[in-house]
Amino acid sequence: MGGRDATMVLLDENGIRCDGRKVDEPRRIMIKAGGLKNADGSAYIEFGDNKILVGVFGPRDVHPKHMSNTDTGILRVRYHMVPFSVGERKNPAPSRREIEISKVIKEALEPAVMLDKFPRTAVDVFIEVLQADGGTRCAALSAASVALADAGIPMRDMVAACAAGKVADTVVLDVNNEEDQAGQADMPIGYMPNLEKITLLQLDGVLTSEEYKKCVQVGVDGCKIVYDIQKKALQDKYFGNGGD
Amino acid sequence: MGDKGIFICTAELLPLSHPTVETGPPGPDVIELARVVDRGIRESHMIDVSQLVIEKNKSVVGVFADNVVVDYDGNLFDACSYAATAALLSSKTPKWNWVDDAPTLAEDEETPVPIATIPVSVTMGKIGNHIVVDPNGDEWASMDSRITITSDSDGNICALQKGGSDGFSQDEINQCGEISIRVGAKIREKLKQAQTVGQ
Repeated sequence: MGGRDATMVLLDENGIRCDGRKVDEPRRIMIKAGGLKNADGSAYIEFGDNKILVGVFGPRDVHPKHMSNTDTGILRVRYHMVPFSVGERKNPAPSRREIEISKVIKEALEPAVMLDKFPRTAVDVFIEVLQADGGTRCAALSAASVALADAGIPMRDMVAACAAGKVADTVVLDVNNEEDQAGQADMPIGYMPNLEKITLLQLDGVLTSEEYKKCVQVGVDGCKIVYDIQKKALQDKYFGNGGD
Repeated sequence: MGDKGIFICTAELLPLSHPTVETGPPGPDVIELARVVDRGIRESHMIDVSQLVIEKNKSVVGVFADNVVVDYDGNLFDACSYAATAALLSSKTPKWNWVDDAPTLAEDEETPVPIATIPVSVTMGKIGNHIVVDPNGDEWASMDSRITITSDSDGNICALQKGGSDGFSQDEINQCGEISIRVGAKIREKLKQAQTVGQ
């Protein structure tokens, strides 16, 4: 998208990044399970300056009917950015980028959900990005997993997601918007820690084959941090005093 | 931003390419295809867009690579990617000069597209516990998940996309990275032939 010129200091001599983080430090992450009254399950995530709300409906009847599958339930995902989520107003109609992200998030969640017990039904996941600051697909995927769990959908594992990347020739965890625009590579990763399976993986930017392996490792480690926060969000709602 | 030219790569599936393809606006699969093919070429910096400037901050050249699928047999990611890459390697663009504050076509002059590297995408499908390179139509229909990895002439990985409704282990991801560089190097030699056609 943006240019790759590095006028900003992305990484100083002490290994501190443009927003004050260390190379292996994610941004502040807050996840709240529940919150929406009408949805069967929901979650809200703040991932740095990203703010994303996810609502889940289902398993429920499929409309249009021809989309239904007699062997299994189907998962449908819509990733959408509200017009005020970015600096310049975004046209509310779904862009090609949003359609692609909806698809990769759907495919990242599919290995986790067990919908074979609900044939002819659909589970709908609606993701609304309220404020975007780089790495929305990872934050959205993490929140969507919590929302699916909150909806009581049987799952093999939760998908945790975090991006790794390369900034100023260094592999870093959780690339923010500035680093994405001016950095050298961005690799969003979705990972199921219990099954040790990577379910979302994308990359843009040039990496050597060693950096590539390191990036995957750093990203997977980041996902494990996110996973603990996801579990805590569910514990807070169902076993703590954060319920509603 | 007027110091860089424009590069856009697209892909579309014609209804005559397969019985299941319908007319109408592109679905998520085709949108993903076009975006992954574009990203592979763009992120490898195959085209040196800084050389596509006619006059800084005034006028730049745009290069379009449009893929049209006429007959389908799986793995369109690689098919479209190689087609676009080969076309770019063999194309000649008209030469433009900046004359009297306007871009002016130089008669009978052509320049090759400025090429910096040759990206090669390699798509692998996972069927059960097996990983197959370049899944054909039948394999494509039956595989659990896929991964497309693009590498450049220096053997660096520059773009990647996982798809399909299953996951990969970290070892498999690393293995696929190595396969893509190794297989990509062989295919790059074939693509280089396109360069000779253009000269």
